Amino acid sequence: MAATRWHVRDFFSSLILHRGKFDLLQIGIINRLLKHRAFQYAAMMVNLFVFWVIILSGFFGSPVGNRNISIVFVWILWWFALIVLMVPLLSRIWCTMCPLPAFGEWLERRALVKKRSAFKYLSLRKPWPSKLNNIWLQNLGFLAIATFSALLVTRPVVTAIVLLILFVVPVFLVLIYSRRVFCRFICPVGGFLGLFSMFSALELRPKDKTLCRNHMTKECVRGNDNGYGCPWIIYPGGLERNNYCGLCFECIKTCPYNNLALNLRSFGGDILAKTGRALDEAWKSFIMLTLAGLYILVMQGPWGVLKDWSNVFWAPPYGWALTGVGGFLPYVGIFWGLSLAVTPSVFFLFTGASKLASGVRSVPLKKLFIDFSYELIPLALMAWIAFSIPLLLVNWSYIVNALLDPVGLGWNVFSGLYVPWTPLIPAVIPYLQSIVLAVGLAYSIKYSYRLAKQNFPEGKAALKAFLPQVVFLTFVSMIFLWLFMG
Amino acid sequence: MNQTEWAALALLVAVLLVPSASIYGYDLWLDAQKLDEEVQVVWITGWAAENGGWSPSEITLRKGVPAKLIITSADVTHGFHVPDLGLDSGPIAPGHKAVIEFVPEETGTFTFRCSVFCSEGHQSMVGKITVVE
Ligand code: SF4
Ligand code: SF4
Ligand SMILES: [Cu+2]
Repeated sequence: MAATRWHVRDFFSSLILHRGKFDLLQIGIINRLLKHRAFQYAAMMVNLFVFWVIILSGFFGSPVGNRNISIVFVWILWWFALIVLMVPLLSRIWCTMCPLPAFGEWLERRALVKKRSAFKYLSLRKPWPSKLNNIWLQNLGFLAIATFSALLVTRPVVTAIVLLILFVVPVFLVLIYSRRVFCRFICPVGGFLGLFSMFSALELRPKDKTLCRNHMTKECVRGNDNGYGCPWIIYPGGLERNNYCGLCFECIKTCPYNNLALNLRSFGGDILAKTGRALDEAWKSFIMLTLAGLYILVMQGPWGVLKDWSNVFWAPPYGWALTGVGGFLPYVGIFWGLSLAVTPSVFFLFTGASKLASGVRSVPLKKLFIDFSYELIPLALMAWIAFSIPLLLVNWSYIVNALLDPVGLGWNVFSGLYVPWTPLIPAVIPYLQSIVLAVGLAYSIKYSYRLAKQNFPEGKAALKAFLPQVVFLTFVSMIFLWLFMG
Repeated sequence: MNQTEWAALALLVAVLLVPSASIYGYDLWLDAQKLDEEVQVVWITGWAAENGGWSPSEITLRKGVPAKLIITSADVTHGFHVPDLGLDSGPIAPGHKAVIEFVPEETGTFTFRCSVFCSEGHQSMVGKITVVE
């Protein structure tokens, strides 16, 4: 079959040279796998097992964070895999296998794998409140979790409780509102997955939009015997960006024309998509950028004093620790104030400067502010990647030890199998971080200019509007550089 | 329900039950073990050197009798480390405890120290374990 042959050349040219796109569904085995009804179930099952062990060991295992699998897996291994590998390369692939919403989904479908015919959702199917039809709840949820991260990373039982809550809440939401409203509007991880997936090298898109538009029965929305209508409450035939597609692959099962493609594409492809831009997403960028800086500052930064003062978080050489509550309030104030107010204000000033510099008065400042905020995505993502590099390189021994003694009850004390804490290439880490950040800066600058061009198509106005943004991006990068180098 | 669904349901139940049962069983087994033997239990509290260091800082254990060291931190994160016996608790956040169980095989004096940089006086946070016949 010609259609399913692996086009090696296309594959590499889209991945590396960024020429055109390559549809992974052309590869027979991927196609068959993703169209198999048991695929998502199996993927969720693997992670359900892992999460369940994490919860159990949080309640019954070692209370010492670094020795307990829940801490090591969630906050080091999972975080690293998510932010360094999955998001940049494979968009929201985590959501394909995330077990959190599984119980709700199975319940409302009354099926684990199969699609029932003559199907009715087991749910009240109330409409989601339109005031909350945005990612503000996710913005605040993420900030809240970030605020208490010291607690989460040092107390396995807290991590276990939070995970349990995240398993229970979606079930109730499903019974009231149906489908993935939890993922769309509540999940604290979902917000930044959506934002950063705009940068990702993978996208799910309709091949021919006209075909979709003229297709009266729209099976991707309504479902058919092969699969469910889009559980993420979007119209797959109109997809222009990755944000709220959870890669559940129902639509590729339901579309009778095989009109959906899973493309490899160039990084950052969605940043220029004009649909869906709004203030909630702009603020997500500010929050992510600011928190990346604050985390690096507090956990890896040059000021020992600050670490103590901000209610010690990261105690060398071993890592996570929380030593008191004295500095907590100012610490919370800084987290929330900087990310919700200070960073956006500074960015607003630079955007104002862009507008003045352009000399064009017809473009509203608010639109400019929102549009330009999308240029921050590559920089913020790379800053988080830079933050995560030492997390793994410094703490890998905990992962090995946790695997040797998953519940942290001391098995390895007897067996003698215990890898001492040995950071890998600590001297090189700051340089690695700087390189990663430089890549982010380059992408941000590239997209900044193209966003300027979108708003000021004529003459030199785009270039002039672009310059203050470059200053801002460079300024932010300098701060990060200073943090890395100490 | 058809076959696939039953198989999927069985897998789901297994995924939830197997880890629960194993951890529960292991706990029971651990408890059962402890009843058989005599165990020397020692509680040790870590304080930063400025606050007094290890308490107690001298411990005596009998050779050949299983020892259970329960170590807590009082002020900041410490770690309990006995290089010559190959014991290391990893970091212990304040209010938490780590349990080290081992059997002293040789008589002698062994230095224990803090393995987490906890304060200026970190280096002087030492104590000793004496193992006697
Ligand atoms: S949005 Fe959150 S809960 Fe939903 S699948 Fe993604 S990570 Fe899981
Ligand atoms: S667009 Fe398709 S893959 Fe994406 S969430 Fe909807 S049904 Fe799933
Ligand atoms: Cu100490």
